[in-house]
Amino acid sequence: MAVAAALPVRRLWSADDRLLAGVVVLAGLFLAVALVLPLGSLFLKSFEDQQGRFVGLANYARYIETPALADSLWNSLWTAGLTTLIVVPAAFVFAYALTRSAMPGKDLFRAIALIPILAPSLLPALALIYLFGNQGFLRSWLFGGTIYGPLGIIVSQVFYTFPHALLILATALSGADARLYEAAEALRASRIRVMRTVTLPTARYGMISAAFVVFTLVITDFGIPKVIGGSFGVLATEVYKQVVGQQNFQMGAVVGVVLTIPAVIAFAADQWAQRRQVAVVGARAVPYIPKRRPERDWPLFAFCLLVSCLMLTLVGIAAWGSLIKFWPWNLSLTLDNYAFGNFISAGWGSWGNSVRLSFWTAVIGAPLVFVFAYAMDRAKVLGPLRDLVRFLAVIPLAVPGLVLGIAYIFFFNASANPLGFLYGTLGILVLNSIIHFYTVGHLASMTQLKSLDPEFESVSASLKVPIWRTFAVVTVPMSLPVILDVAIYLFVNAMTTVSAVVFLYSPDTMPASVAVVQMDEAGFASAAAAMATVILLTSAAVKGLHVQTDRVLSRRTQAWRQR
Amino acid sequence: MDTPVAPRLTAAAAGAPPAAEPYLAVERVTKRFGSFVALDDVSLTVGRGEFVCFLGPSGCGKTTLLRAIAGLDPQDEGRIIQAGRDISALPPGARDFGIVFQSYALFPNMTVSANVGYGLVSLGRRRQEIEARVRELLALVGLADQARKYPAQLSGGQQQRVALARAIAMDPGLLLLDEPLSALDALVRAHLREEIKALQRRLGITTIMVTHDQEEALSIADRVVVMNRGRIEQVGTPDAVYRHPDSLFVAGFVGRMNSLPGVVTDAGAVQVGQVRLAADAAGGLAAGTRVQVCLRPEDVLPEDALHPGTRLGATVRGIEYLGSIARAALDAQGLPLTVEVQDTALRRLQLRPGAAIEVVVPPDRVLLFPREA
Repeated sequence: MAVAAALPVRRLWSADDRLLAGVVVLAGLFLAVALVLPLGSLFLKSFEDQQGRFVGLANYARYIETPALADSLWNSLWTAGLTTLIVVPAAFVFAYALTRSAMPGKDLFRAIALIPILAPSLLPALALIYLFGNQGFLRSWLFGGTIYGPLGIIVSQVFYTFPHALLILATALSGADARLYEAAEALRASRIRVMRTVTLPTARYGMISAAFVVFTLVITDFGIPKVIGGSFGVLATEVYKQVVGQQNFQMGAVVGVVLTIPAVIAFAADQWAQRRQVAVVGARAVPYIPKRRPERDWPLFAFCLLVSCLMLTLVGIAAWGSLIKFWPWNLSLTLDNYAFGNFISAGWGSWGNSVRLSFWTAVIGAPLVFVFAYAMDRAKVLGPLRDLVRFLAVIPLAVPGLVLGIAYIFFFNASANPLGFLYGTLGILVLNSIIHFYTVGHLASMTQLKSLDPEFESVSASLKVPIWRTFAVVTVPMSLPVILDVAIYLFVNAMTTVSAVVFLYSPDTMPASVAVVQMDEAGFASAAAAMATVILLTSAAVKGLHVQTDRVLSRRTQAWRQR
Repeated sequence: MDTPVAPRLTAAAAGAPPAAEPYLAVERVTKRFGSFVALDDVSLTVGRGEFVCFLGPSGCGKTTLLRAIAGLDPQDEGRIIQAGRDISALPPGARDFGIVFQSYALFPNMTVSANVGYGLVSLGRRRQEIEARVRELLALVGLADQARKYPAQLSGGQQQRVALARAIAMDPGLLLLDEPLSALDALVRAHLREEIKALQRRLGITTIMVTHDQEEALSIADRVVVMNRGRIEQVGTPDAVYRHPDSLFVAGFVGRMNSLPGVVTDAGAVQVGQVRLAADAAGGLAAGTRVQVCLRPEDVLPEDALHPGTRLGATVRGIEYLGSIARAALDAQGLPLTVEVQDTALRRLQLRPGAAIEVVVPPDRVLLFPREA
């Protein structure tokens, strides 16, 4: 055998490699145009004066010197911190009851606790105003205090962020290994010791993660402080005032950058916590099935009942208030508040806009996110670029919606931008919404793709089947439930979000969630509540349809799952 | 095969070139993952129609070599030539192989016949033609009646056969099997092992199988490639690898071995502890050479009058009973030795802990490996 010198190998690209590389490049371009460049122009804007000249840190200096602005930072931080301190323990107990007790009605409690996800964040704020506002019939309960301000903000935020914390903690707690509990029992550990040494450590990173998610949600939320904040300024409302109220785009950019900092810190910490969470439960864990224990189950049941009643009360008050003729003097029922045309020129059209926006966000977004995730995960070439694009895909989670909204103004409204034609159309709202909620869909798709056998592509290559065919007939059918989940997630979020789109709508494309803010601002609180209720019902209907579809789908196309 | 030969000198004989013409040639292949060298300058040829097993502990590079041959994780340096064509730079789709993975990687949402016919459909063959071929393949692996089922409805062994049928559906020149049996129960594994071998003989397809199970490798392969730390330790027929290991690693990895440190005293003997053992292999080594003395448990013969060799008095320390055979731990004049005896011999010799027996160590069965200071 003549042995040649060992020469380095330069691998030739197959058609599959070229295709995946093309999609990775496309994903990179998409994220560059829809995310990186807008954020970059926002960042640059914060260093410019009105005439576009570079002024260094002058805007930041002015920010610190303006007491109202500096206060808003502090206000944001402490309300977010306090909300987190209330929500995380409460959600933990609720999640514990759902996953680790044998109490009755678990499914119902879970469904009720998740309702706020389907509503715009300002719905609880509107309900609180009905109860405790200037015309509220429980106003005397506040002993002369006011609901407009930190109190209203925190209560509303607790309601709005509760399901987000609950989802994370329920997931963390559901991954329990029964063998650990059996071992603890065999070693005669006391219940408190088991809680301290087994339960809490498994949920530790879930709690950290939940805390950061809640903190970020509060600090970046715009709807609640707008409606119930009164004169209590927070970062989110300051951005809005600077940009929409005073047309001071430079200061808006500065506040935007400031708003991003805590969000980015929380995001980084959350990523750290999630990486730690992975290793807690091994693949060979035996699922924990709680046994009946009345002295534990009934107190937990009482707690869940209380929380659920509060949830339903707030939603119910908002819905009921929307049907009232003239709060609180004439409590007869009417549908007048649903004649939105009387309160705002867009009328029911804004609901139509929202449905169209949500529909396109879901229908374009979910397949796009999945295809991009597939290419990012399976491409064997373009290593560094692929890693960069993967990193870009998780950035949107750290970018507050308001910041993304202003960034879009700066980028797409610039006269030199060839994509400027999108400005003021439904298209920019769809693009913005896809990016705003990109990361959750991306991570869900990635998790799904990781659960598929990585050798499917190897097998098809050995059988000389092009990768797109295997993607179409194997990967997509197997991932259909996840793609549908992502679509519904995008739909519901596009339906309820206010923060990013509030800067980007035009009179023709005003979404329903913005109409709620506008009508509330104009003094039509009942109409605002009515629109918020319509949004909630729309999301709930779509979610209900999803549950049904999922059932049919799993019967029809997922027959192979049955043994 | 009982002729006394020094193991070191048997390399050429045991690693004899394949009988048939070379079909696959791996030339000086190196593969690194970061600073870890997974394959270190590996060269190998495989004959047409040959069944070769890559055997080694986990992390030895056997799967890496298989994946390099498939083009799934191409090597950094070196060439791979298949049927006279340099395939080093080609992507997997441009090479000519069928593959079965440990996980089988069957498409769960497709029926058995859709899985087997998956590649054929892409070729644009006619429907009847594909159906006929799929039927033929399923009959070949004994699953003709399972065509309409989904993979999840089959047992592990059946899934493995479907994967096999799919891998040979396109008549590839090379069949690659990556630990195809390791997810199965011991009985199914032994049965499928025979079936794979029979199928391979019938089709005459050149086959490479990766395994960490030495029994599997010895029973199925025409030649075994023993690998360790990214290098090939020995290539040879199963009996050559077992009886005449090239290195201490192969001696210890393939089969069981008594391994004791010793020193060559003079031509034909080694000193191990207090015992002087006659060893043919010592003939080629200078007196005073430090060696590792290796003895198969079945080559230590208890109460044997027929074979010449060193006779040692021994005491039975313990017995591990395994059914058809038993292993007895002995103290043979200070040397810890394990002997393997048939169950019949066990009964005849009345071996039990504390019993005193005599064992014979035939000089031609003593293997010697140089030992570093």
